[in-house]
Amino acid sequence: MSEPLIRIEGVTKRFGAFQALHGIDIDIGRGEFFSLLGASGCGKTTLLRILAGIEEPSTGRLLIDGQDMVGVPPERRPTNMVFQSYAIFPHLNVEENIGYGLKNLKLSKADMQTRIGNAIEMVKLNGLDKRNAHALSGGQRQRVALARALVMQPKVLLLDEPLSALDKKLREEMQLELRAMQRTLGITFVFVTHDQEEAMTLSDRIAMMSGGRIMQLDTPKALYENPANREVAEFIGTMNLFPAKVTAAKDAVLSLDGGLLGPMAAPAAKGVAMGDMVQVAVRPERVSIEKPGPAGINRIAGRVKEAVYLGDRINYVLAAQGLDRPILATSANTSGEIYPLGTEVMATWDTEGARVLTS
Amino acid sequence: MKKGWGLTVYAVLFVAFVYGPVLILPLFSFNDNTFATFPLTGFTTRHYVDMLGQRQMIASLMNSLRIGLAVTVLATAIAIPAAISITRYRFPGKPAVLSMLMLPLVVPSIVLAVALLVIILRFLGLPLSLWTVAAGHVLVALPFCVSVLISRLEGFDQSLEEASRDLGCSPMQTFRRVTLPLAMPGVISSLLLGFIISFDEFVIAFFLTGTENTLPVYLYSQLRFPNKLPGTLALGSVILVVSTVLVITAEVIRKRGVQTDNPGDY
Ligand SMILES: Nc1ncnc2c1ncn2[C@@H]1O[C@H](COP(=O)(O)OP(=O)(O)OP(=O)(O)O)[C@@H](O)[C@H]1O
Ligand SMILES: [Mg+2]
Repeated sequence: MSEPLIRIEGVTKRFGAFQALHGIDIDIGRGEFFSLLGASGCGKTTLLRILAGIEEPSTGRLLIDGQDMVGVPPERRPTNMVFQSYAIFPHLNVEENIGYGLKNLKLSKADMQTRIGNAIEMVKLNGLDKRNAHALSGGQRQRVALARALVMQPKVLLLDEPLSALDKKLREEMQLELRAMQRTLGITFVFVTHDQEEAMTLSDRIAMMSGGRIMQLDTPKALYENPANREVAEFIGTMNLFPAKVTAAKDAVLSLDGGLLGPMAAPAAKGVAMGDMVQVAVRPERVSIEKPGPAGINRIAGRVKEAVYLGDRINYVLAAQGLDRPILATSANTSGEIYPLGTEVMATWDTEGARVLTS
Repeated sequence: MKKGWGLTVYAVLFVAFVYGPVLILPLFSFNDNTFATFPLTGFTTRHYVDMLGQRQMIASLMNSLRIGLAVTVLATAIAIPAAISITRYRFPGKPAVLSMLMLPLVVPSIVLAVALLVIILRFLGLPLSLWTVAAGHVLVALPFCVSVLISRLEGFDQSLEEASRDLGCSPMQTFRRVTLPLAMPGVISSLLLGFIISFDEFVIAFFLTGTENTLPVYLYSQLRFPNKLPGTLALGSVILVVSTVLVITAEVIRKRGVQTDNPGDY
């Protein structure tokens, strides 16, 4: 990455005795669509508010475009925010809400009108210019909040779960629009969400957070394919986890002993040595279901507990001896055949499809 | 239906007890008799005309209006920053500050009056005047003004002010463009409330006034003269109507404010 637009260095945040953020380090590039992903209460909003200047970090540094931002009030930062609650001014109409920040820029009346007009156009609120804020639907409020921030042409747009109040269809529509808008405007987006699918759809990179820490910072693909730990693996998509002990490591392949689950193999992973207890992680779509057969490497015998037919694919839930959690398998529906409940089957996977997690 | 009976009787009695004595006032003010006794002897508006002729009474009314106005503006002006700091900032000793602000509510006004008298005469060495009365009234009005404003400021989302800052407004501009307009119903309620509290306050005015009287103090001094009574009743009736209208207005404004905040929200 060339010179990052945003540099977050060792940022921590305390609220009294409670530590909401622990040593956060992130670099965000120019024009990047960056997401903060994590469960409720993990500190996403707090970090966003620190970027906006509404909260100050307890320790650490924050640079935007090379300038130290600590101590700079929100009104003098090149950031604008779409609030989790939208924060539409109830005493103003749509146009006045969108033009709120422009008033401070000393623009000519004509300039201001053009910019407001363009913003209204961009978020498709045409015809609602004079509508009172309290007569807007949830989706319309969200658009006003977006337009109000975009019209300021910030270097960085901060979005705090802007789509969470919308129904599924409108949300998917808005996701596409957001992504398109971000590409055409070239603005850097920092987007907060607790919806992993949304983060995957939109982001160039995702910082997965938990308990005020960053668990992993990667592209959506890397996050899904190579999760750093169990928590990330299970938050992003679903993951089968098989406990096993490392018995040999040679030629970039680990041999493992799964006890009742039998022998396994997986690509070598950093920091894994002989004798370690680890988790072998396999995504459901990597697991194939076969007729019962001889035991072997990466083969676990199980019984079909549930088979969910979804048309293009079938989701199996298998019970296996030596596992308290069922094995999940997703098979592409290529033959139209389905293993009935109670059938004894064999769950198998390729060595390349497995990952070893130490924590 | 059966259950409702007891409650209905209770409600009727309640209203009669509370409003009966008050309604006596306008009743006798239209009665054609110098003495406020039954039976009524006829209808007249003469007392109202008399009232206008009583120069001292009108002068004290004017004093009360002036003090009321000064008190309410001052108390509200002090209450606004107080309510903002209590609702918007974290600072040490906040509960203590809040209880101090509310203290005049529970201190008997006679105690307050005597204490103020001592302070003004002994420590400050100031002469008693309408100004000293006004100062005392600000003190008693303040808790009411602060509570009205606090409940109003707590009623709207703080992120509105944060959004204003985020969009480039300084704290001062944010106050002017967001906080004040949204708090306006509370400010108006506070102004009306402060005025009414000062206008009908007796004890402090009685103790702290100099040579000029406020209306309640004047009215009390006139009770010794029976022939002045009807004029007093007439004035009392006028005040009753005016203050009722003010209180209802304050309440309507407050309610309307609450409605526009929650537009059938999620
Ligand atoms: N002003 C505050 N005072 C005390 N604790 C706070 C404050 N603001 C946030 N916290 C705490 O910090 C933690 C992180 O809060 P934050 O709002 O950043 O979570 P979040 O990740 O945005 O969650 P959500 O997805 O629910 O919005 C929470 O445990 C919260 O209770
Ligand atoms: Mg949040």
